[in-house]
Amino acid sequence: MRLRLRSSLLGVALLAGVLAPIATAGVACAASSAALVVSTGGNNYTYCVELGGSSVNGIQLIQRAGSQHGLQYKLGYGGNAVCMLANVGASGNDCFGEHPHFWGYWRDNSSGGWSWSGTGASNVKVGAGDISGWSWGTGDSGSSHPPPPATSYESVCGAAPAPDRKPKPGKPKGGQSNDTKPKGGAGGSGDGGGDATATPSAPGEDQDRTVADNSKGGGPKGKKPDDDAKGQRKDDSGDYELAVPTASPSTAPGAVSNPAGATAQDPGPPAAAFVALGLTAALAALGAMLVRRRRRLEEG
Amino acid sequence: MHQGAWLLWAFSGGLVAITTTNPFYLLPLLAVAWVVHAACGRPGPQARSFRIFLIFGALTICTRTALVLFLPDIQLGNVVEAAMEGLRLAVLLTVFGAYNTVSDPFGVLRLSPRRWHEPALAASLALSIAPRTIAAVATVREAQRMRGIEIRRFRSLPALAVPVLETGMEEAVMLAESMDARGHGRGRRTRYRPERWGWQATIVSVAGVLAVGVAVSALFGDDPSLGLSAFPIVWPEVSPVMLLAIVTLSIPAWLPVDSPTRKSR
Amino acid sequence: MTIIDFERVSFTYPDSDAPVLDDVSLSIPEGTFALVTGHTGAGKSTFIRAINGLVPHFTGGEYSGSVTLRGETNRNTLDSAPRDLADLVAFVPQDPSAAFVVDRVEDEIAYSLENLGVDRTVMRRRVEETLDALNIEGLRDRSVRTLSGGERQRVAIAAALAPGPRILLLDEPTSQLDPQGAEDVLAALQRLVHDLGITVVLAEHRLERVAGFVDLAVGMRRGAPVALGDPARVLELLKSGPPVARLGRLVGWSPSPLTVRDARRVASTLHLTARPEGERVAGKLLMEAAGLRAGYGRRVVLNDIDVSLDEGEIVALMGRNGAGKTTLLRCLAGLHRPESGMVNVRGEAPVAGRTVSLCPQRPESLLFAETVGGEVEVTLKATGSDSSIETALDALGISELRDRHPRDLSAGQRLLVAIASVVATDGPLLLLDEPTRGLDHQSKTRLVGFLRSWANRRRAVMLATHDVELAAEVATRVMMIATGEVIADGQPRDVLGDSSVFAPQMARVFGPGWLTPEQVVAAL
Repeated sequence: MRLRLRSSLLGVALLAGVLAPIATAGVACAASSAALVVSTGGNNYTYCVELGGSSVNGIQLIQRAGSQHGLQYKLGYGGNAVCMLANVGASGNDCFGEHPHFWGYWRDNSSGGWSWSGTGASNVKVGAGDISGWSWGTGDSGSSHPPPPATSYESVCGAAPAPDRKPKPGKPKGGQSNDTKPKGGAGGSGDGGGDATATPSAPGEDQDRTVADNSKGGGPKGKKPDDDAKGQRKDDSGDYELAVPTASPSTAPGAVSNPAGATAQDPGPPAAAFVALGLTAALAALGAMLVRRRRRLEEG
Repeated sequence: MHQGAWLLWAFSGGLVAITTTNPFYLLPLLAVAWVVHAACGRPGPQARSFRIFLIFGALTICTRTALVLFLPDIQLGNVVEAAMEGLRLAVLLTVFGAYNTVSDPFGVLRLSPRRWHEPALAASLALSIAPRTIAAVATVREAQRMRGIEIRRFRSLPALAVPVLETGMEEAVMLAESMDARGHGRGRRTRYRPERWGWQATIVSVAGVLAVGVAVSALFGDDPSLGLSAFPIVWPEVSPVMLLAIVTLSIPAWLPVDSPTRKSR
Repeated sequence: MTIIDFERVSFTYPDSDAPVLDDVSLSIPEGTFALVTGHTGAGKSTFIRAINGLVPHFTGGEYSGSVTLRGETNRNTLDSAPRDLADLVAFVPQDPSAAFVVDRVEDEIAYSLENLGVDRTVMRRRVEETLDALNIEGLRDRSVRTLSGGERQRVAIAAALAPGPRILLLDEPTSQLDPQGAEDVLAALQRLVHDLGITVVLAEHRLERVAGFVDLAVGMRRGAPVALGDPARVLELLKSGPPVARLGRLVGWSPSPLTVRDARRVASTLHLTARPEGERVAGKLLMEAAGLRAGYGRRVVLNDIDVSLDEGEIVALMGRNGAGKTTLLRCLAGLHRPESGMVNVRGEAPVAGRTVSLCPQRPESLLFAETVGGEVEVTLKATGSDSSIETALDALGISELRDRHPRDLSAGQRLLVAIASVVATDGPLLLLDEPTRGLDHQSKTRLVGFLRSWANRRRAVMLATHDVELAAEVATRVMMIATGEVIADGQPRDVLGDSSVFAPQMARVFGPGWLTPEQVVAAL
C-alpha cells in the first residue's frame, strides 16, 4: 500500500514537473506562422515562417526562415545581431563592418506600415500573425533608414491567423515592470518595440519620444523605479538611444541588442542577480557554520 | 533518507547545472551543494571528502580557462566563456561531491538489480574512494614528515600520491575480496531492513523533479538567461523562477534527515 | 571424518614463477580448531584462501589439484566461485575495517544473509543468534567506525558466521589486538568450535596467544606442509612456538608445553637460582616531557603525563587499544600539539625527521620508491645526510633486499624497510607505533637485534606495543598507560610481572621477575 502511494506521488510530481512549463508556455494558436521580409536594396524576399505553436524572437525567426526556406544569413555578436542576410551584408563577426550600411530591423505597426524597432531582434517576441522586416541601408533610425516595401501578412502567408492571436503591445510593456513573468517557459523578453506601436504616429517620431522618456527613466545602473523591468529585459531602449547622437556603429539601434563598444552605459546586473548573490552568500555562511559545528562535534 | 531520493536529488542538481552557464544560477547551486553537504554529510571522512571535489572543481575552472589562453587572438569574452563553462563543470562536480558525502556508498549497490551488480560494485567502490583518500592523505603526510619529507612542493607529490593510491587500491581489493567471500552478486537479494521512503524523501524528490522541469523547459524554451552572452559581455538575465528552483534544491538541509550514525552512541 | 581435503594442490600467482603452494595434500577433520603457521611467504594466506575459492578465482593464477569440502554434496572449492561457497565457508580478513560494507553492526551482520536471499524472518533470527554467539548484543546499534579492535574483529566474525557456515577461515585475527581483545576473540572462536561444531582454520604468527586453543596445527614451509597434527609436535618441528615451547626445547622437555598451564605442571622439576636483577640503564637525559595534556576537541586523551627518556633506553609503551599510546607518541614526535605541557629532545622542541622520527603503524604509508635501497635513499636525500644506504639496511639485516620492490615483500619485511627508511634520518629519538602487524619470527628477531644496537649508540627508542613477549625481550623499561594516565613506569620485571593481563609467559609460570626463556635457562 505504501509502495503504491509512493509511486503515485512520484508520478504526480513528475507529471506536474512536465506539464507546468508547457502550461506556462502559453496557449498555442491555431495558425502558427509569421512573415518575414528581407529587403537588400536591390531585391525583396518574403518568407512565411512556420512557428509550430511557439513564439520566437526576431533572430530565431531568421534562423527558422533559414532552415525552412533556405534564407542565407549570418549572425554576429554571439548570435544577437544580424551581419548578413541573403548574401548581402558584413562578412566576419562585426556586423557593422560595412558601416554606415547595416541591417535595420522593422516591425509592423497597427496601421499596416513599418515601425523601426527600438529593441534588439533577440529580445523581440514574434508570434503567429506577426510580420518582421529587415532592410539594408544607411541611417541610424527609422526616420533615416529605408524601410522594406509595404507588405502585409496575408500577402506572405495567406489567410489571416485565428482571431486569438497573441495580443501584442496592448499588454503593458516598455517602462512597466514585468516582475514575475515566468521567464522559463516562453523565453519572454521585454518588448521595447511595443512602445513604438502603442501610439499610431509616424514611426520615427514616436520612437524618439518614447526614447526620450526612457532615457530619463533608464540609465546606466538600472536602479530606478522600473528596476524590475530592466532586470527582466536585456533591452532597455535607454541604452542605445542615449548613444544615438554619437552615431557610433556599435550603438546603432535595432540591429544590435547590446552595444559592443560599451560606450553606452552598461545597465548593470539585473536585480535578481543581486538576489542570487545574496542567496549564495547566505547559504555559504550557513554551510560554514554547520561544518564548524560538525567538526566540533566530531572531536568532542 | 531513502537512497533513491538522494540519487534523484543529485541527478536533478546535475541536470540543472548542465543546462546553464549563467554564474547567477551556478553560484547559488554551488552554495546549495555546499550547504546540503554541511547539513547532511555523514560524519567522519565521508563528509570531509567534499573538499576533494571543491579542489577538482577549482582545477577544472583553471584548466578550462588556461586552455583558452592559447588561442591566437583572445578577447575577454573568450576567457569569460571558458570560465563559465569551467564553472558549470565545477558545479556539476560539487553536486556529485555533495551526493558522495550524504549517500551510503553501498546503498547504491543494494538498490541495483543483480544483472548490474558488477558495475554497481565499481560505482560503490568509486563512491567510497573519496572518504578513504581523505583519511589516507592525512596519514601519509604525517608519515613522510617523520622521515624528513615535507609534502609541499610539486616534487614531493609522488611521496604523497603513491602511498595514498596504493593504500586505496589495497583497501579496495580487500573490500572486494571480502564482499566476494560473503556472497556478493550471488542471486536474488533480500532486504534485512527495507529502506523506508519517508515524507522527507517525497519532498526532496518533488523539489528535484520541479527543478528539472523548470530547467528543461527553460532549455527548450530558449530562455536567454540560461546562457551567458560573451560577445559582447553583458550581464545575463536572471529568472526568479529558475533561481527559486535552484534554492529549493537545498531543501534536504532544512529537513530532519536522519542518518543512522547521527544518533549512534 | 574429514571436512577439508587437499589433494595435490599446487598454485602459482600470476606474474610469478615459483609456486606458492607446492603439491599440498592433507586433510582436516571436522570440528577442529586448526592453526596454520610458518614463516611469511610459506603460503599460509594462500592456503587459507584456497579453502573458499578466493584462490584462484579472486586472485587469478594457475592451479592444479583439488580442495574438496565434504558434506552432503562434495564441492571442489578450486572450481567454485567464492560467492557460491559463502554459505559453506566463511572468511574473515586480517583488517576487518577495510571490509565493512555498511555502518551499523546489525546491518553488517545481515549483509551475507541479504546476498544469499534469505527470507527476512529467518534473517532476523540468524542475526540475533549470531549476536549472542559472539557476545556482542550490546553493540548492535553502534557504528562500526566507533568500535575497538577486538570488537571489530568479533563483528567481522559474526558477519561471516551469520549464514551458518560449517567452516570459518581467519587470516591473522589477533595481530592488531591487545591481549584482552585477543583473548576475547579466541575464546569466542573456541566456543564456536565446542558448542556449534564449526571447523575453524586460522593463520597466525602470535603463537603465544593461540597455541593453547587449537587442537591441530599445520606447519608450512615454502609452500608445502611439513607437519600436520598435534600442535606441540608441529611447532617443535618448525622450531617455533610460544616462549614456553622455546623453554621446553632449551631445557629438553619433550613434548614442549604449549600453554602456561602445561608449563606449570613441568616447571616444578626445575630448580632456579636467584631471580635476575634488572639493569637500570643510566645515560644522559635525551627526551623530557612534562605535564602533557592532549586530546581531540573536548575529548581528553592524555591527562597530565610526564615522560622522560635517557640515552640507551628502550621503553615499551603498553596499554589497551585506545588508551592513548598513539596520541602520546604523536605528541612526542611533534605531530600533535598538546593543550599544555612541553616536550624537549636534547633541550629543544622536537623536530620531525631530524631529532625525532616515528615509524607509523602501517608501513604502506611511507613506501613509494621502486626499490628498498631507493626508499632509504629518499630519506637520506631529504635530510641531507651523507651516510650510506648500506648502513641503514645493515642495521636491520635487510641488505639482501636492497633491489627488491618494497610491495613485493612480506608484511614483516616491509615493516623493516619502513623502519630503515625512518632510521636513516639518524635522529636520536626513535618512536615505533605498534610494529607488530604481520611480524613473523624472523623479522621480529631482526627487529630486536636492531633495537638493541641502536639504543647502544647514545640513542633512545620508545615503542608502543601490545606484544608482551616482545616487550619482555627487548625493553629496558616499561610504561603502562590507561585512560590517559601513566599507571606504571619501571623495570619490565616489575611492571609486567605485576600485571595480570600483560604478564609474559615466563612470569606466569615462574613468578614475577622472569621475562624470557633464556633468563630461566641461565638460572638453572
